[in-house]
Amino acid sequence: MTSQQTGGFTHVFFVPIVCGTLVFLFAPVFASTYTLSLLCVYALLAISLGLIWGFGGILCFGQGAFFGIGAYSYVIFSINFGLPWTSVLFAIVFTVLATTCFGAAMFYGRLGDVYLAVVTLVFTLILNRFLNSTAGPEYQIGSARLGGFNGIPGFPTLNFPWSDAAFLSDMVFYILCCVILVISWVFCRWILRSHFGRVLVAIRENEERVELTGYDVRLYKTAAFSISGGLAAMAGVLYANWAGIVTPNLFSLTLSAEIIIWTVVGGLGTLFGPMIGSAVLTAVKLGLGHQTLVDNFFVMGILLIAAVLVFPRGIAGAFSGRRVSVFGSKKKGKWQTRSNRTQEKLSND
Amino acid sequence: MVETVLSVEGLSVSFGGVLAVDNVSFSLKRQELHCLIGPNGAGKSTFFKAICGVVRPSSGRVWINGYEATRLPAHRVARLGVGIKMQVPNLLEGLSVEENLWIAARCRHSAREAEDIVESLMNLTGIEKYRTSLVSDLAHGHRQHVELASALATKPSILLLDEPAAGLSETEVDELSSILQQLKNQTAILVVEHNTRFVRMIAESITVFHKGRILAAGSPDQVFQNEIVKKVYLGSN
Ligand SMILES: Nc1ncnc2c1ncn2[C@@H]1O[C@H](COP(=O)(O)OP(=O)(O)OP(=O)(O)O)[C@@H](O)[C@H]1O
Ligand SMILES: [Mg+2]
Repeated sequence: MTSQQTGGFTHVFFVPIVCGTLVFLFAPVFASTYTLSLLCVYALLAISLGLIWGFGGILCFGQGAFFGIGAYSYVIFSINFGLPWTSVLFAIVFTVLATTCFGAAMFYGRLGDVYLAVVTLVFTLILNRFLNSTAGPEYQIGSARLGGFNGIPGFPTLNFPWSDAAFLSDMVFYILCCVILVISWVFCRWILRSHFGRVLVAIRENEERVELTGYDVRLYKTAAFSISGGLAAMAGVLYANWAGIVTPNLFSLTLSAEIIIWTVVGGLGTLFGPMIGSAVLTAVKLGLGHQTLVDNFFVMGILLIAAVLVFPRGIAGAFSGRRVSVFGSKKKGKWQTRSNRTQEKLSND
Repeated sequence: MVETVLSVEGLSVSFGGVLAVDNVSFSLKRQELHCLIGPNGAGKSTFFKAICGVVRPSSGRVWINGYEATRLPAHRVARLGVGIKMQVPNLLEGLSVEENLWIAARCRHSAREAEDIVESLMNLTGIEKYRTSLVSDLAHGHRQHVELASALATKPSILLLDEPAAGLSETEVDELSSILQQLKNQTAILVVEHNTRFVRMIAESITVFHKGRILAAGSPDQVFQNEIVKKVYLGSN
């Protein structure tokens, strides 16, 4: 049994890791590490939504907001205290606390799915509006001026811990993004295989049944929401470091909608799907950015509709031929999630 | 050991002024197999929902295993030892049979115990063959068995079954009644059912609901001989 488990473990765990590493290693041959870092950041952001929407059934339009909160809180803390790495920690803790409060209010208030989507959307737009109105000198947190629609430029970015002046090169920053992305992916997989993750999937299937079984659904959903907020915040921190400026555009409807499109196109109910979706669509968008013939959003919209019609289960779903059960068969000595199966399949192709 | 596992006092539930359950008092003893019958709309399902915390009672109190459960959220009531099979389909549709049972079993048991529970329940209800099938792909009869098994998977001390025999063939009804007989020494069972043949097979005692109130109660013979019961319920069937 042990050897069988190890065999299975090698197969579903190390194969994607090896393939992933190869992709990350060879990608810089085809594109600049600067662009690739952005793809990693967006992939992380996409996972954060893929986790709660694809597995918990929570459609949140506020992912852009948590991304933005993560970025802004990093910037504000690092301007005030220097210490980029401590700021990373602060930004994540702060965002997780904020999402926990926000999530608890919604889930303990028994907000329905549709209302949750609307409330998170409004939340994002309010923050966007608010930050756009903070141009005046009265909007200052410590020594950080919020700066309204101009945003906040010029803040300490990540460096090598031994020297303030040792900034990360594009290559090193790219590697950092890759490592964080892989760690986050492993973390999500671990969550989904745990008791908690299975209950989350069960909640997606039938909330009332799970409740009548004895699980506090509100608690589980709030926890999932917080984890997702933390991942989005991590992406936000990396984005701030990548761009060197944060603006209220992070809270725009555009970004929040894009995250949803990435997830749908990539494949709902998988972890790989949202990552692939974000990378493909961002690459398309960046490619289109150089021409003025067709509007970006027009193309995005067409791609979304085409994807929904041609691959109803997304890119990742299209690769995993048959519909697979969420925990999978126990006969193999362990239970797999739907996403694992997909990843397995993808890594074999 | 508490002898009365479920005790309900003056329970009322109203939906916008309509009293679906009207001042009902009721109790269920350990290892009792009790049936609840009554015409459509009598309030049987609402009574169940009020006990397990899905619907808020407007007045009255509920005790489960000696603990007050009135107005507790549904998951807390479940943890006090109530397992319920609702009248409407209520399964984790996209998951397999064994996953459905595992989720329920794992709630209050260790991983190892949960696996044992899942195996023994699949064995009891005869659904091992379908362990990896999605419940949405199952035939109605098997789904009813999965519903029963997942209500049992938490090892409840009170099992509420709302129309477990609905839509089952005669042989399936016989199977179900023998399963319930086997369960009798593990848990108290309260069954809502329209199928009179089934009720006669299993019931030790019967309560008749009518317009939210208890119309009659007693042994099957007493109840089925009762003239008023014949008139409002059996006659109309
Ligand atoms: N959620 C609800 N909102 C409003 N009225 C309801 C609701 N649920 C039930 N009722 C009403 O309460 C009464 C009792 O319904 P209930 O479902 O408890 O009856 P029942 O005895 O289970 O009937 P059946 O044998 O048909 O299942 C009915 O008049 C019904 O219309
Ligand atoms: Mg009913």
